[in-house]
Amino acid sequence: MRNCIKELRKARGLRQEDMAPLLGVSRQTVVAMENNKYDPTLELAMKVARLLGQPVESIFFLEG
Amino acid sequence: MRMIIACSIPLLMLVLIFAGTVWMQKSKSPKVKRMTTRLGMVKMDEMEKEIQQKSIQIAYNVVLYALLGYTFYSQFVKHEMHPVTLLIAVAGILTQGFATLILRYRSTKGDEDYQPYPIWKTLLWIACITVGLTAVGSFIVFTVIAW
Repeated sequence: MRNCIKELRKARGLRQEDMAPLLGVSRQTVVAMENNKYDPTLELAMKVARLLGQPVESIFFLEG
Repeated sequence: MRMIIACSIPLLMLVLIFAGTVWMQKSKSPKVKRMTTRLGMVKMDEMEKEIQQKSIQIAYNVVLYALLGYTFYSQFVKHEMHPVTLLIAVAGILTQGFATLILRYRSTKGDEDYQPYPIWKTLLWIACITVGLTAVGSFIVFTVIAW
């Protein structure tokens, strides 16, 4: 699964350090998600979607 | 006596590290809190939990294969009997099996379309098969000893 969290975060002028506490995770988790190294749970994916003001399916998408 | 003390050092160190970790996480002192943050001992989020679970899984496999390897080596190469190591390995495998059964049962419970097989029946089947296998195994062992 891939995502465009990094682009959307930058467009909103948010830093990883700002985003992490708003999502209730560590900065490392945000980094891992942005680098497609960690697939978040549905709960965290929905929190990301709510924070970035986009539907989940426009942030996360299946490869191939 | 010296040998016992030497052998107990790794265990003591593990206990001390565990106790220290618990104390650092429970402590309300700002200095200790800063230290725990620097050491990366912060509250676990979902990624950290997943990493910990994977680590435990790897550690479990290492311990299990080491126990089985050591048991087979000592039994078939060195011709020594170590029933405790084998029992620990079997206990680990059985615990894994029972935990899988119970967790799967809990996950599928409450489904109207699919009625899970009652867990007591599954456990009864396992007990019957275990008794059967033990009987066959004992028979083979006693036959070999008598021969």
